[in-house]
Amino acid sequence: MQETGDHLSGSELIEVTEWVCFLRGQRGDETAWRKITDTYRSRLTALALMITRSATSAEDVVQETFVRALTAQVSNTSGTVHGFLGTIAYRLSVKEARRSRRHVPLNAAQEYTQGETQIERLLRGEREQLVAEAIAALSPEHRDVLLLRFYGGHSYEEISELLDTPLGTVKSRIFYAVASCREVLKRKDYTE
Amino acid sequence: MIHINDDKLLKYALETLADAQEKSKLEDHLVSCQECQARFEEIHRDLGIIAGLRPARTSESSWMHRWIRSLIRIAALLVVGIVLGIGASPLLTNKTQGVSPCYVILSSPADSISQYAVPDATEISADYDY
Repeated sequence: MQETGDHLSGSELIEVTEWVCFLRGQRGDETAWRKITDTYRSRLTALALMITRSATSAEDVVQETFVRALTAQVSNTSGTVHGFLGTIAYRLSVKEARRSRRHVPLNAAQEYTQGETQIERLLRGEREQLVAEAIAALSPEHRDVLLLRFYGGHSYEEISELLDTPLGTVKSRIFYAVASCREVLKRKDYTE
Repeated sequence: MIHINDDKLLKYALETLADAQEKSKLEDHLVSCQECQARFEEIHRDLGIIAGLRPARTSESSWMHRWIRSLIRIAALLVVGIVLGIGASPLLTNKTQGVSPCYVILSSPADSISQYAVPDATEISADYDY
């Protein structure tokens, strides 16, 4: 872990403080752990939801992420806590998406539960659903880069490493992904 | 004045502009051009919206459902355990003679099941037509 000191910038200080909080949580400090889970739960749930397309799976993935994080041996704190949790959540989500597609063929009917889609179960606002729709329309490659950047807390370099994809490709994918989402939002006049 | 195109503004907002000189030139222009500033703010707002999905915390209710489901499962296991325990108990061998252990539990509340139960020999009516 980086040493705290006068030369740390504001964001670096937040990262150090978060790791301290995280490690305290691992050692049994419930308040510290709750702070970590409260801070990242919704963003990780969004990431898992957009990959698994299932509200139940998304919540299970996030719960599993926190369970794994709680018992994980953290040897490298150079990244962010968000990125650390995001990596676990992303890998579990991809695994869950593959598993569910292998065992239960996806079709439109199965995405509905009691008259609402899986995404509608967690995203209540109209604009949120529109954003989810725009993200869901992306190819998995573009979608994953966007999710890791915005919801997984990763830098472009971390995404490049995680997806084993050149940095330039990651940057062009995030550009294309965001541009596509903006197009969808504009078409639907999301501002109203 | 030549304005900055949207693609370049988006790359800048996404922090993917690699060329430091280009970045510096763009920043200088942004300071002095209100039109580009307005488009940059629009992009910034859009990024906030795209990155702003915050799923509702339904986990409380779903966890409650899961807890209830778990409790039902535990209760069901306990019932099965009790039924099997009673069935296997040597103390009750006389009382349950000739009766399936299932009826001990199931026959009392579930009237609908009673129709499927084999009548006890002692309950057969004596009104026979010979």
